[in-house]
Amino acid sequence: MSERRVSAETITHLAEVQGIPLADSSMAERLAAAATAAIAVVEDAQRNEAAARALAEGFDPLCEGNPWFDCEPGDFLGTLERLAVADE
Amino acid sequence: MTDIAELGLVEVAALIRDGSLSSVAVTEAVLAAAVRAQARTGCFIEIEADAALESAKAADRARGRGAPLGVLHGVPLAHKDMYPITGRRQRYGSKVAGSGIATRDAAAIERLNAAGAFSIGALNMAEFALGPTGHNVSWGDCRSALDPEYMAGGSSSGSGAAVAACAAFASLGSDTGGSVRIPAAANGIVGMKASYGRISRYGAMKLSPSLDVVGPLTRSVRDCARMLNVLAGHDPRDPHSSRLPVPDFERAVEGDLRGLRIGIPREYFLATASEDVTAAMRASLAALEAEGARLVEVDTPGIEVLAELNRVVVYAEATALHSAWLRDRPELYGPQVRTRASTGLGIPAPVYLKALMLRAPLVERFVRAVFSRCDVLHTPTLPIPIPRLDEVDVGTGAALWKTINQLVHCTGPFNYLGLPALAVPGLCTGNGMPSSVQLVARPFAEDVLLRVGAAHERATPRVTARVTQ
Repeated sequence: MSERRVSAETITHLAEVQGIPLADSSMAERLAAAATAAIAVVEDAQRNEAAARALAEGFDPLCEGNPWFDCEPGDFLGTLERLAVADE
Repeated sequence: MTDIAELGLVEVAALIRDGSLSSVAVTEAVLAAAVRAQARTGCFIEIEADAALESAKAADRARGRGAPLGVLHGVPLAHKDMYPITGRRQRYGSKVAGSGIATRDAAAIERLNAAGAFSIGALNMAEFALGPTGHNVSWGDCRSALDPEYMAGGSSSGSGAAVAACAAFASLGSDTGGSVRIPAAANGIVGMKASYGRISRYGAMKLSPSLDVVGPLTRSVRDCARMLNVLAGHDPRDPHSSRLPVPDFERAVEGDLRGLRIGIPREYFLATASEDVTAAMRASLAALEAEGARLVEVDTPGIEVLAELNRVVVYAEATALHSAWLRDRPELYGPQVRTRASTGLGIPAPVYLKALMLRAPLVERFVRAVFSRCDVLHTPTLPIPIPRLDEVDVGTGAALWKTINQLVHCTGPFNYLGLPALAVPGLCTGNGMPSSVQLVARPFAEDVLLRVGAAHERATPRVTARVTQ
């Protein structure tokens, strides 16, 4: 997992610039912990997906770019509909 | 003699249709059960008895004059307080949104109305559907209908408790991380999270539009199939509504399990499960095998990060939707919901977009790996016995994330993947509360889930003893 950490000060600043008040400093700490976890899990999932795709398709993701990047969020329902049919 | 309110949805619809029961008699029985359930569980935000009885009288008049009757004609239901019904108050389980009068029906309500059903009141829910326990600081906590010492689950807390307490024949919930399946588990009933895109969300409150799914809670699998028959289908007003054909789900309930393969996941789902939940899952699998299914072990690639990726999407989208209210009236939120609705403040936009872009490749890999080996994946709905309400009363303290993450451990991955999942009651755990089995299938294979769920129901003792007290 990534060692990078979001600080409570960063959360407080982001809340200020968006005009959203925080209840107290402990709320900022809890949101910072959640943001840190979110960033780490997405980074890891991206790295794992790239490695898996590279293994399956036989190329180096570091040279070829992020191979999963050809999937746009809007494709998701279409992907589900395609997967509804079992592979025979 | 069975109380009218304890009949099943399909059964009572048939009795109203053939004139054996009037809708008024049925509605009076359900309203009486609703008053009892409210005192015991706090499952309603508002019981609308006068409007319900007017609808029942209209249903009886329509039958009397030979009007065409829908498949739910004259049947009283009640729904989570996030589905607008014309002329009724809408609150989303919160004081933040005010109590405005709805000027249109949600699409799911339109379909139920077209089938002849009506609502007897607005059901309690976690504020803005953000909470898996049943706590609500604005409208009062909701408790399990099986035993009010225990949590009702959330966020469709009132839906679970009211249906289990026979205060409605069925209810609409919504599911973004487990919010139909967890209350179904905590109240010993059936809950369906349909495939993403199967049921229109048009008009319903949004929590996280990339993940939100409408889902029914019922007392039997057959009743669930009837609700799905009414609710499923394309709606051009929902941009993520599928055009795939809709099968007859009630026919699926008739099938046996010969030739079906049930997948037992090798990892993740039972890794943190208690011993009695694990034992209940073994018993469930044995029952399905005895019904003719074949059991196979399966790998579930990437499963360990899916619930967390789901949270990234939920919190980013929830904060976007709530930012105006968080800015203008933060004091009206409950403390825990305020924290959770603000969580997206610290999630960078590229991180949120990456979480969305990873969905298609991850669901593709998962479906190909799992559903090439089995037809239905079998997991617990909750990895732990149903907790008491006070055990999950964590407020905004340090235990907040841990408690929530534990409750959605088994359910959250399937919101992220958009797969259909059915929660059905299992054997009781050591505390006397039922376990719950989660059945998962490939996209849009709800019919297969209902087939397995019905067989499971036939082979499992019903959880009723504490419901009707």
